[in-house]
Amino acid sequence: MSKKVVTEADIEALARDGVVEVVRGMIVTPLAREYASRRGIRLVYGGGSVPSSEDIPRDPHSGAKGPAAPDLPALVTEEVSRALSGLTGSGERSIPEGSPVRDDRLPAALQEARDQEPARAVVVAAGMNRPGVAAAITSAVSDCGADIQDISQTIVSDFFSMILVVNLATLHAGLSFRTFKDRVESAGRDIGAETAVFHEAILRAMHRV
Amino acid sequence: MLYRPDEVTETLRMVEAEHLDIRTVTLGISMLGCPSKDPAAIEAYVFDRVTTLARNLSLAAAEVEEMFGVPIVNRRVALTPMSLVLEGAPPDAYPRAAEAMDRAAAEVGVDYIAGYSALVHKGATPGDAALMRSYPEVLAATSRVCGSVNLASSRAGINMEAVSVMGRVFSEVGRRTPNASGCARLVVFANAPEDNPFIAGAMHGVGEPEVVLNVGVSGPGVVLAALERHRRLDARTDFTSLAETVKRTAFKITRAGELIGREVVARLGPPVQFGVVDLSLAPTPARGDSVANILEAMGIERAGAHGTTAALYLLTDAVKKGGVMASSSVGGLSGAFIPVSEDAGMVDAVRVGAMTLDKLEAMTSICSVGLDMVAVPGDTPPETIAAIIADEMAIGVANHKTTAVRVLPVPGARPGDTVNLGGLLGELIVMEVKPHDVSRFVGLGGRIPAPLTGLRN
Repeated sequence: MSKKVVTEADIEALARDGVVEVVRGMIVTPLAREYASRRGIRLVYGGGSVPSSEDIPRDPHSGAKGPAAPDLPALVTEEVSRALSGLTGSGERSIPEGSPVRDDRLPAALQEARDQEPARAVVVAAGMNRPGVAAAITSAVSDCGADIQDISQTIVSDFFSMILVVNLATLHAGLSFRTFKDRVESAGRDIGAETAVFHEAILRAMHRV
Repeated sequence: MLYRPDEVTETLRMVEAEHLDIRTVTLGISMLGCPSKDPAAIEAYVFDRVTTLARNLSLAAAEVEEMFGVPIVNRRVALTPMSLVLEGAPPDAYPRAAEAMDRAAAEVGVDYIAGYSALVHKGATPGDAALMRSYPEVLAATSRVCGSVNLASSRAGINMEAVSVMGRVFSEVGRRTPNASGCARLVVFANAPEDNPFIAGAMHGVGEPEVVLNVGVSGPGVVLAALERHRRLDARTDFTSLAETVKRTAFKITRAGELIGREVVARLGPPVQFGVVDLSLAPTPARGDSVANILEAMGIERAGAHGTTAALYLLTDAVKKGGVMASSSVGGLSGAFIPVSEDAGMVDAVRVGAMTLDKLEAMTSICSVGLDMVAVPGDTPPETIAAIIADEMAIGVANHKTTAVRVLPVPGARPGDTVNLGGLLGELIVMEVKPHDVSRFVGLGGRIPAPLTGLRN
């Protein structure tokens, strides 16, 4: 069967008893998913053609087959709601909990790109000095399984600043870069240090010829 | 330390405080494979192809954004000039194809889709003419479709018939869309580049591969901050050292742009290829993200004052030199372009009378891309708009560079009035147009021949 793009308009026509069966080769657009969820139409995957192994992305870290990294549905949701808010003028999230949009799967190419990501991140933290600030941030890093490869830390009068280069290859299985970033940044904020986490590749691009 | 603390903080500062961002990642999609001239078939082809190839664009861009902490402001789609796809199709195919583009853009979550375009620098086919005629209807009926027309080239000269048609089209679109906002999605070119990622002039040229991702880097704020720091730290500031500072900064911005573009391409997977980095310094209405402010940081009280053209030359030249060192895939417009409404410093300069249409025109001759996002009174005769276009085309043709016009004849507006378009499009001050009659000149018809320098073989 050739690829078929299923749009908002098609959902109604395809629905049987409130269910649309999505078979291989069908591409359901984000707007169609949103429409379906608003109308209470369920999207059911599989039917006669259960997704083959290459349809189910591997977990980037453990290599195990299974659902995509946990942050992805949130990302998709955000993207779609951003697109929709452009349409309606309201900035509110319009994807309800349990929407099929939250159920998306990564395309293979996206997964491949993730696997090839450069494996180092840079953590920058700055704020007023206080006991435990370095410990709070470094333990957030090690709690995620990341390995600190390089530290530069200084105190100027009362100000604390620290730069870490961490190896992400040892990150705990199932933990995405996004989750790592969120955890370390919030650990820093909790102890009063502005913290930013980003991939090392951008530093290499900008500062190394 | 693998990286010096000052290198790390510089990158962080550029992103956090100085508005370093990727202005756009634009997916160019070839439409030449459309198998039919039947309106319904064209509609389906356009819609299916865009929604299939661009469906992961937003997702991939968001992921890369997250990875590097650098915002990607816009995700956009550009198609093969639709006049080529629609040539020979019945008249109703034109609005239907545009409507399909509009719907597809909404489906994949991009705010603008470009390529409702025609190339008529030497002459128009019936299809080209039909497409140009359809602009008022199409731009009024859609909200995401952008069009462009190449009216002149250094090899062919200026197609004055088409210039005059587009003068009328701008007037008509201005009347039919609120505050002439439809004109913000329409631009005319001399020497249009085939790989420009910036809206409204983006298109996927016929020499391009099937699907290609082009990146528009930005960062007037970063350049401005670098110049100000340079002046503070170094008492011996002269023009050479200013140029050097801009060059180094442009190098870093471009490297970041190419990295991010390639990461997005990796996520989109085949058949998407990486295209070019466009080095244009593109402003946004945000304070501190203005090209005019860079000129002012060089010591010009207001953009538009005498000396502005020289300052802009220095700026654009240094940006290009830094960018070309940073990437072997430089393309698109790659000149500072200053959409007047989208640059807070330019708006201020127009408001106080420092920046006029004439000065803008002079600036385009040296480096910037054109009269971009300029509002004129709605009762400006179409012939006068055509003449404004013709002047720009002449500058582009004679200097072998891209020039463009995106002019908004705002109905009922007088010079000095403020028109707010909202969002990224910003605020416009209506500019004064000379009242003298030029209709006899514009109406002569035919083509202004190419310059001698067009004959280079």
